[in-house]
Formats: sequence, C-alpha cells, structure tokens
Amino acid sequence: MPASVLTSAAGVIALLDETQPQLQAFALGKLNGLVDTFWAEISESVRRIEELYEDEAFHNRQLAALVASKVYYHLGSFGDALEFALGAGELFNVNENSEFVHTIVSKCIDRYIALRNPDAAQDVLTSAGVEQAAAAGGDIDARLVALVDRMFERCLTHGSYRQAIGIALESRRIDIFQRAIAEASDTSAVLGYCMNISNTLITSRAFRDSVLAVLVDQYMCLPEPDLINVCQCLIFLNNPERVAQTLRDLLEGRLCGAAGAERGVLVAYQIAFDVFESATQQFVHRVVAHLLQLSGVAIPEPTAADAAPEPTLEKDSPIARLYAILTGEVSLGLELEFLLRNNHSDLLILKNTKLATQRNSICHGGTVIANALMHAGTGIDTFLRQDLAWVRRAAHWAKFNVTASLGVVHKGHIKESFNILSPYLPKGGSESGAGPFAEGGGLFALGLIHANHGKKAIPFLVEQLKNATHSRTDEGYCEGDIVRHGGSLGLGLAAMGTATPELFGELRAVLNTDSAVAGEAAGIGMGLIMLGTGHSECLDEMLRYAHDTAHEKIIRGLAIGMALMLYEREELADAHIELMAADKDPVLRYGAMLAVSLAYAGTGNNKAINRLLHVAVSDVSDDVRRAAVIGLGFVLFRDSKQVPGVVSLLSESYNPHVRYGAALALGVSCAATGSADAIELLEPLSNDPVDFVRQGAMIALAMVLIQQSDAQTPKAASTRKLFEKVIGERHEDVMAKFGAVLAQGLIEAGGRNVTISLQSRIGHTRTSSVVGLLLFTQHWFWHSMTHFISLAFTPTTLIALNKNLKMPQVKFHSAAKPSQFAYPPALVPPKVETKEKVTTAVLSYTKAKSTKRKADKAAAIARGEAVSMDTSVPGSPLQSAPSSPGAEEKSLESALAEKAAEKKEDVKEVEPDFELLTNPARIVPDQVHVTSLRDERYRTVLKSALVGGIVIVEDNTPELPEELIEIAIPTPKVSAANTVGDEADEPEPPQPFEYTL
Amino acid sequence: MTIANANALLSKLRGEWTATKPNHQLCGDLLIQLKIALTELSFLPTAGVQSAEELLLAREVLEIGALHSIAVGDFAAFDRYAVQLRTYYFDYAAAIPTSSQRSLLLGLHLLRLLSQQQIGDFHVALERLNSVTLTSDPFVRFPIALEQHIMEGLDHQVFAAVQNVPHPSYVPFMEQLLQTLRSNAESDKLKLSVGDARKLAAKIELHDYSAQVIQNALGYAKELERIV
Repeated sequence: MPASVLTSAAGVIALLDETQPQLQAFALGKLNGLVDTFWAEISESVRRIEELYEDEAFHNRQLAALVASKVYYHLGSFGDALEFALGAGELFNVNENSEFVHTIVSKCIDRYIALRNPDAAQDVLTSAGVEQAAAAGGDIDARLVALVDRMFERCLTHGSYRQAIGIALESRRIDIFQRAIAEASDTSAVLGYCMNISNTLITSRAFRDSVLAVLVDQYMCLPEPDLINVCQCLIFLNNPERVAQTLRDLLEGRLCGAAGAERGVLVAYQIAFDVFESATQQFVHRVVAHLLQLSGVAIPEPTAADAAPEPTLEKDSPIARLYAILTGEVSLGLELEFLLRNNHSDLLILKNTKLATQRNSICHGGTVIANALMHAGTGIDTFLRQDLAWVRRAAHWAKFNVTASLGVVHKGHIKESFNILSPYLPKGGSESGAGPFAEGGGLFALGLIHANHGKKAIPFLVEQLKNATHSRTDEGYCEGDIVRHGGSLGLGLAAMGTATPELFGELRAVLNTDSAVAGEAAGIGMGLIMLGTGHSECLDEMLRYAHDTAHEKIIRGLAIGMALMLYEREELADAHIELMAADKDPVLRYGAMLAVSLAYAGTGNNKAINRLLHVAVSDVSDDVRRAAVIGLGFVLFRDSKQVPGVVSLLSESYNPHVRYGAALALGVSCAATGSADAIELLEPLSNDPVDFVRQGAMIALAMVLIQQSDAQTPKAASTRKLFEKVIGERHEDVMAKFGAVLAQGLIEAGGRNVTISLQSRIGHTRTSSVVGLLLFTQHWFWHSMTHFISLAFTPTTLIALNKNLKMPQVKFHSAAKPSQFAYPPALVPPKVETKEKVTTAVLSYTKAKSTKRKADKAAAIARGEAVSMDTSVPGSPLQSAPSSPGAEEKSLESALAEKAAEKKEDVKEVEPDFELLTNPARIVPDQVHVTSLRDERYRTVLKSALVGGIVIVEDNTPELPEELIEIAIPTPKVSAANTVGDEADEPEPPQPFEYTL
Repeated sequence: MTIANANALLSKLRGEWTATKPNHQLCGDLLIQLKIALTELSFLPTAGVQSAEELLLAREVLEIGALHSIAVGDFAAFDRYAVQLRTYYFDYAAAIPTSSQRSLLLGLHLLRLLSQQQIGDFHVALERLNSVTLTSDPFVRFPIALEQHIMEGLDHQVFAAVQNVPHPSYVPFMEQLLQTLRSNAESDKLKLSVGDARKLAAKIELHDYSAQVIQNALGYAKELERIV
C-alpha cells in the first residue's frame, strides 16, 4: 500500500470550529505538526487559533499560542511570533534545533536586551515590540525573563559560556555573568574574552565598571592569579591604591605562591611597565605615592627650590627600580635607545623636498616639521645642522616652529632636555635671549620633550610664564605674549592630566591678560592640565570667559580646552556638550564636536555617532561640520573597519570641508592599518579639485600607511611617489604641497620605527595619542599644532629586560619573510654629482656598526638581512621552512651568517621565510602575531604571548655571566653659542656617520 | 477507546440514521462521541501508512455527519465535514475502496460552495476530480451545469433546475443559491451609481493630491541637499 500524503490541512483546520474542547485540542496538536508545510492555509484561520489562546477556560491555550507563534513566524511577523511564543510557556522548547526556535530565541534576547539596556535599544528600534515595551514603562514581561533564563540555562549546560557571557553582558545580568565565569572550564580564556568585550562592546561606563569589578575578583580567584589583567582592570576602574597594594605584595612574595619573592619582583616589574604604558600620568603618580607609603619610604615635602623632590631610595633595590619604571625613566630611556639605534630615516627625501620647495615659506615651515616628524624621538637633528643658512630663513612664527620642532626630535629625552634647549630658553635677568619667538618655541619644545613626564620642567615653565614681559614693541605686539604662548602649551603638555589647581591658576592668569596669542594657548593648556577631569567649575569658568572675550582665537583655545577636559567622560560629558552644541557661537559648537570626539573616543557610542553625523550635514558653519566628520574617526577608532563605510558618502559631499573631514577621519581611525578600503576612498580625494582637501587626503594617506612595507600594502610605494610628485610639481597649490611635505614626514615618522596607535597593545585607549591627534587636527588654524602629533607616536619595539632592567642578548624569531615587514628601500640618488649626499643617506648602517663593534654573530645576520632586504626580489621562490624551527638556533645562526657571506657575491639568493631579530627589536604591529621568543636561556615572565613593548625575561641559568647590550645614547654636546641662527660654531652631529659597503 | 468500541458506536449510529424516522438529537450526540473517540485513533492522518479499518470507520462517521448536518440545518458543520472528507476521498483514496456516498457528498459540497458564491473554491474543488466524474456523474454534473448557467447569465435556467435536483438533500442548498441570486440582482442596480460617485470623488481629490506631490518633491530635494 503506498504511503499517502496530505494535500491540505483544511480538514484539521475545520476541527477548530467544533464545540468540543477535545476536538479543538486534537486539531491544534495536528496543526502543530503540519504548520511548517501548511502555514499558508492555517494563516487564514489564525484568528480562530488566537481566540482559543485567549479563551481562559480552554485547557490547551499554550498549544494554541505555539501554533499561532509558528504561523506568525512563517508570515515573517516576528514581533507577534515572539508574543505568542512567550504565551506558549514551557511548550516552546528552546532546545529544539529548528530555524523557528533559533529565530524566536534571538528575537527574544534582542527584546530583553533592549528592555534591560535602553541605550542599546536604539539599534533595534525598528522592531515594533520594543516600542510597545518602551511605552509600557520598561516593566519586563515575566515570561520573557523566564524564557531568557531558560536560554541561559541551556547555554551553561551545553558549555557555550561565551554566548551566555555575551548575552549576560548585553542584558546587564551580572548574576549570570558571574555564574558563567565560575562554571566555565577554561576560565582564563573566558576571562580574556570577557576583558576584551567589556572594553570594546559595553558602552555604559557605570556598567562596565561593575563588570570589571567582577573580573578583578575572578582573576584573583584563579589558582595562579592573573595579576597583569587584574591591574589592567584596576586601571579602568581607576583604583591606583589597589595596584600599589598588588605591587607591594609581589615585592614581598605574597602573591606568587611557591615561586617566591624573586619571581614576584619580576612580575611586579612587568606589571609596572604595563601600568606605565596604559595608565594616565595622574594614575601612575597616585600608584607611586601609595607604593612609597606602603613601603614606609618618606615622601619629602616639596620645597621652594624643588617642587617635586626625589624620595631617598636604596640604589638598585626593587622598590627603587619600580619607582624608576613607574616614573617612566626606564621606558623612556629604552625607547630613545631603540629609536636612535634603529633609526632608518632617509635624509635624501628631505633634501629633495628642500630643493623642490626652496622659494616658499610655508613649505619651508612644512619641511622643518617633516624633518621633526621623521626624526621624532631619535634625537638626530643632523638635517637642521647641515644647512643652518637655510634654517635661518625662518622668521617670526616660523622660528617658533623650528625651535619647537627640536622638542619633537628630542621627545622623551627628559634627562638632557635643558641642555639641548638651553640656547633657546629664556635666560632671565639682563642676559639677552634668543628672541621671543625662539624662546616661546623653546618652552613649547620643553613641554613636548616632557609631555606626560613634567616633574622637572613644570617649575621652570611656571617661572617663565610669570617672568615674561608685558611691554610692547614698536610694531605693536607684545613679545611676552609669544613666550607665554609657548609656555602655556609647554606647561599644559608637561602637566597633562595632573589636575593641579595651582597650575590651572597660572594659566588662568595668562588668560586674563586677554591677549589673543597667549590666551589661545592658555585655553588649550588649561584643558590639558585638567584633561579628562570634567571639573564643572573650571568648565563653567572657561565657558563664561569664552562668552565674554572678543578674541576668536581665545574662544577657540577655550573650546579645545573644554573638549580636553571632557575626555573619556562619556555620558557624564553630555550636559556640557549639550550646552556648547546649542551655543550661537560657531567656535563653541566646534568645541562641542571636539568634546564629543574626545568624550566618546573609541567607544563607538551610537548616540555620539548620531550627533556627529547630524551636525556633519546640518550645521551652518564649515568648521563645525569638518570637526564633526573628523570626530567620527575618533569615536570609531576601535572599529576601524566600519569607518570607510560610514564616511564614504561624506567623502563625496559637495562641501570640501566635509570631504577634508572625511579624509582625516579615515586617517585617524585607520592609522597604521594600511586598510585597503580607506586607501580606496583617500586616493580620489588626493586628486580633489580643492587644494586643502588634497592636503588632508595626503596627510591621511600617510597616517594609514605609516610603517607599511611594500609587501604588506602594494599602495605604499605608489603613495610615496605621489607625495614626491606633488612636491615637485611647479604649478601645484601651496596648501597641497604643504600637505605632501607633512605626509612625507608622517609616513617616515620616527626613523621609520614608530606607529600611530590610539590604543595600547593591550587595548587601552592611549590618552596621549588621542589628545595628540586631536590637537594635531588643529593645524588647520595654527601650524604649530602639528607638533602635537608626536604624542601619538609609539615606538614599535620589543625589548627584553632582565631582572636588573638591562637588555640581555636575546633573539626574537619572526616567522615571516624579512621583506614582509622591511623598511622601505632608501632613495637612490640621481647622479654621481651628489656623492656627499649618498654617503649620508645610507643610515641603516648605524645599526650594523654598533653591533659589529661587538664582533657578535648577530652582526653578520643583521647585515646579511639588510643586504637581502635591499636586493631580493619580492615573490621569489621560498626557501623551505626548517622542519623544527626551535631546534638548533645556533646552527640557524651560522647558516645565516654563511648565507650572508655568500650574498656578497651572489645577491640573487632566495629569501628565508623567517627572521631573527636582536634585542631591542623593531616589531611592527602586524608582525607581533608571528613573533616569539626562542631562546635557550631566557623565558618570559607571565606573558604567554608576546604583545610587544617591554617584556621582562627570566634567566634560566642565572649563574652564568650575561651578555648585555651596550647603551648607545650619547650625551649631546651642545654649547651655549649653538643657536639656530648661529652658523659659526657648528657642533658634531650626535652620531658620526661612516660609509662602507 | 478502542476501535471495537468505536465500531459499536458506529453501528448504533448507522442503525439510527438509516431508520425511517431518525432521531436527529440522538444522532448528533452519537456523532460527537464518535468524533472524540476518533481523536484517540488515527483521525485525519497526516502522513504514512494507516490501517484501512480505521480509515473506513472515520470516513463513514464523517459521511453520516455531513448528511446529518444538512438534515438539522447546521451548514457550517457540513462545511467542516466536507473538507475533512476530502482527506479520505483524495489523499487516502488508494488505501481504501471508494465509498458509495462519495459522488453525492462531492456534489453537495460543490453546490454549497456555489450557493456561498465561493467560485474560486468551487473551481479548486473541480480540479481534484477526474474527467469521468466530471462528465458522467449526475451528482457532480448538476452543480457544474448550474455554475455554467450563472456564468452565462441564464438565471432562469437555474430557477428551473430546482425541479430536478438529483437527491433530496440538495434542496436546502438550492434554496440558498436562489436566495443569493436574488440579492445579487438587487445589488446590481446600485452598481452604476456607485461608479459615478467614485469618479466624482476622484476629480476632487486629484487637486489636493497634486499639491501634495509638489510639496513632497520639494521636501525631498531639500533633504537631499542637506545630506550630500
């Protein structure tokens, strides 16, 4: 007998109209099975099914609800489907593996999240259910809660903890969150996941704090407490006392169990480095103060002569070392060392630019700044010194910029800052100085060098602000204003985020002189000092002054300052932003947009994005619109893949200011990513008919492509060519040329060893980078602001330190072809006539020389690879990988050394697919994932995977003597006579160059 | 309830129904009992191989139920029986021998649809019938012929057909059909004036509408300019 198949459900549906409940129940049971096939037929009778569900006396109401839910699901009406699924109660089986159940469950969770977390509701506002629920006053349906709870149970019993955590966090269910972590089998991995999403996905600050508090507890509960992450959480929670306590406990060997105090000390060092890298200056200060207090070290009272005296610590004791780490001495020193040692900047680029733009003062200034960027942090000022006549052409504010650029070049050189800058700093007394512009620039430079580490510079800067003259020159301007301008910026930088009321008062005094030049800088400086405090009295005061003053420059300075004060305040900043955004003065509205950018930097907050987008297309002032578009880059920098999509329409706007903004937004958010999408949008903008749009596009291109090798991004080389072309073009507009010159500086920044990154390696927002980039975007109004970008530069380095905080000889293994992350090839000089220049251009030799001096095998490798980098053809056939890469490093080394020797004769050698890098190594961000520490003698403390930065390594054989790496930083020899304007006494460049090969 | 119990009930029902003066009240009660009994057996099967005995039992219950519902004037119930019977007449036709009542009930159902003016459903039902039934079966021919007359506007033929219904149970539905035809004829008179009224209204509206279109177009242009 053949199996028969039903062709219609009409018969069963007809049963619904019977009067007997048994028959109706029977029909519903049948329909429940038939609905997936006959839903179209059943949908005509869905009213009848609903009636049954609503009939209180009917026993199978839940079954009716389930059938109705399925019908609505098939009809695509998910809101109704969810409503009835809730009515179905237990009959709705969350464990069923069907599309219906999946859909309903996800809708259910969406609605639950929307109800629990009204901020997120904006995402799903389209679904009607949410609106209803919102109208109901946010009271959550108990049935909904029950269903979600069943989902949680299911996730937990099936071991899908991540899902449970994700939903718990989105719906703000701390209880489930805790349970999921407690029950998870791979606790540490789950914790890592939580840490990551809590920082990237949770937009509400208050809730994030409570999640992090839970995480801290959970990390401490691990059998081996994950102190690194504990401290990271504590930084987010702004709890320096507990960080200090943890460090203290480690020093005393309380937290490391069996491993004992020795290991504890190393862990403490590592944590201190991480804290220093991630936290704000103020936070670190409080950690230090608390740590000293816990350790029973007396903190000396500040005296008149020394506002911040050093505490007396036993030399080389762990506590003294911790102090050195936390005050930044160690990190700064190491970074300087790295940047100098590995400097790969190409002076020929600058020279070509200089020749091509000789007649133009704007480009002259641009070239000076480009030089500063290219050598940022390296301490190499050869270029300026080589042609002092050319430099001397800088007059007035250009001179200010030249002097300030020294601060960029010597960034972080806090020990020698006063020596380096002594020719330009105000002398005081009767001695005649270098002139107001050089002096102002000098103070700004001092601030740049001491940015975030201002202890030593602050008293001096305050004094100079007080001493600056108020008398006017014959031409009618006040020389003191220029000094105060530089001084205010410098003080702001040096005291960034310290929130010291006295220093704020100093700048208030400058502001009260009501000088446009000084007042603007004072406003910015005030914001920098009070960075992220959201201090409402200060904000009110600044807003009042902005309304009173007649100078637009001052208003702008104050607006920027107020924005800085609202940094990372998120929701707390809304009231002030509202106030500024509603102002009739466009400059204050401009400030409001900057405030949104900073307050919500990196949060991806929807409200902030909506506000920015709205203003970007509706404000009447071009400046405000431009700032709003750039702000998108800041708010979305964590989600940089999204930005090209968001701004693609804006980049085609008829308004050139909006296009410019779109370009910079891409530059800011996609910095150093080499994102192909971003480049695709930027390339047409670099051919824009409007000159300043071209400028912005080129700057943004440089930011996106910084440190990208030709192998990583094919566009890198062509973009460099583009900059050259624009600079060389005779009829190009000056604005665009200036942009190209800056872009050249940016793309080669810091001797090609720094990147621009708005978040730290662990994922914290880098305060100084965000602030630096935001102030950099102000170069639109004031070229000196360009220097602020040096705050955003981070050396891409991996440095291993031993227990004495010295660099041992360690090798890192990078599992990629050397050309993948190579430096771009040096420019080839055009002809023999410039033989001199050729010799100076090959800077890669610096590194080779310092290593050769030690007759180390590594030298051979380094040189060998340098050769292979320059000569090997990309895409040449690969050498087969060694079968056991970690097995015999020595043999690898010798093999490489031999290869290097061979290469001298036969340069067409195949490229190896790995690379050995010596400590301190240049590891670009993309390279981090392929790099590992392969050393027989050393292993890392705590960190299982290398993330770059500074890592403490443990010595397996402490009894053997260690080979250490020599420190190459010279003490700069700067004589008092050596001013920029003085050719007579030209000093030696810091590193004498030699040419071999 | 077992199948034996159900069969006992059915024979009781059959006895009562075939009596010269059936007790409709009792039949109704028996039918309800039987239907509930059926829910515990394989009533209205959805798929797979079913036992012929149960299929036959269910079919007979439904057939008697359908005729009974006409006798007591519960036409909604007839509709339900009719669609349920389709499962047995078509979907499971291969599993059981053809019922003697099949033509009668199909014909009744067609007439019922026609009387309700459910012309679409009427044709759907026709599609399921084979050509032999369509051309030679008197029970089925009758409603088909009526439908043709109505389509051709030969209402008098329909009125005449009352005289020669193929089975007495056709009468109630025939009366319904005639009633429907009469009310249709009345409403036709109004149609013309409704059409005129609509035209007039459209003219008035057109003016307002065009103004609104212009307004909208201007609005869009403004928005567009803002966005770009």
